[in-house]
Amino acid sequence: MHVLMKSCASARSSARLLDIAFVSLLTLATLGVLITVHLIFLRTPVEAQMGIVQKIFYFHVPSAYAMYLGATACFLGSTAYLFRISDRRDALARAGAEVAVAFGAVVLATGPLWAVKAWGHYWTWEPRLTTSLLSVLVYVAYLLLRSFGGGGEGERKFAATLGFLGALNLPLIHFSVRKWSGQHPEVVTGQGGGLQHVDMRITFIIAMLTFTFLAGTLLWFRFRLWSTEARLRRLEKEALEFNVGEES
Amino acid sequence: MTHHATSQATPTVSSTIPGEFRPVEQAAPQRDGTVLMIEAYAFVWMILMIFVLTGYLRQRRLDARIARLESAIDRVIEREQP
Repeated sequence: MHVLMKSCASARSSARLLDIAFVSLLTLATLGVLITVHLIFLRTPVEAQMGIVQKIFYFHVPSAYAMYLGATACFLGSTAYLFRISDRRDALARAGAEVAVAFGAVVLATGPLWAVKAWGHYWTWEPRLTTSLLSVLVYVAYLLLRSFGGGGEGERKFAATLGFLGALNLPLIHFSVRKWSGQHPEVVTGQGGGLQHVDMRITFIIAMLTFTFLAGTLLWFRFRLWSTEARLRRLEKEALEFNVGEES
Repeated sequence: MTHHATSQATPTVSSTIPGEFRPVEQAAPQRDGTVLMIEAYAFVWMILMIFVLTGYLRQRRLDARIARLESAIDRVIEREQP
């Protein structure tokens, strides 16, 4: 009895620690967003050639990076799930795919709005755009499978395989510009001279940090959601043994 | 005065009335950069807000279902205990 009480107390304290960590991450993300917005609109200079539309860059690139983070989480969760079945690993993979789709949607919405000014058209089938779209579609397919697959073990394993294979496209997105010489600019990693003003560099670094916190918060938030759903499934099985329903 | 009234009554025919429409050559029609940036910014927050809101609503629904099930199981256990 004493051991049981002790283990319950330790579970409660670890849950409390996790709550504190989550709130801290959320606070960091919120502060980061406020600082980033301030820097983008009030401090960073307007770019000489493109004008104000270049400021899209400060949330377009960090969103692409956040999409990578989500996809990596999906890859890790899926790979771990294929090695050993566990609800938590499955929840991580699903949360990662959702974060990848959310930030992928941001990338696909903001990119064309910049492109219409810079290139004169919203979309072109150049390598980086095409591989990015393909990657987002892989994770959309993952989520559709999870939503309409029936929820069985087979569906989860198939989704885990998709989560594992879907990550193979990620390096292609990154290296596509160099490999197939597309139109997409390479300001951060290329030889173009990078960001020419110190405020541009500071804003970009802060934006990257903010989107890391934001992706981490959303990932954790969705991970908790899918862990809760797994707990509900276990509880429903337990309730069946007692022959009770929610209305009992 | 008379001269002014006469000039007002006479319809003026401009010599620059367009007889055809031609596109701007070698340049796509430009959209205002500020509007594009505001649209992009609005998209970012709209997508993220929808993501958070749907998650929050689903979490609340799941928590409520878990609470109902747990209390139902607890009631059965209490009834079955001697």
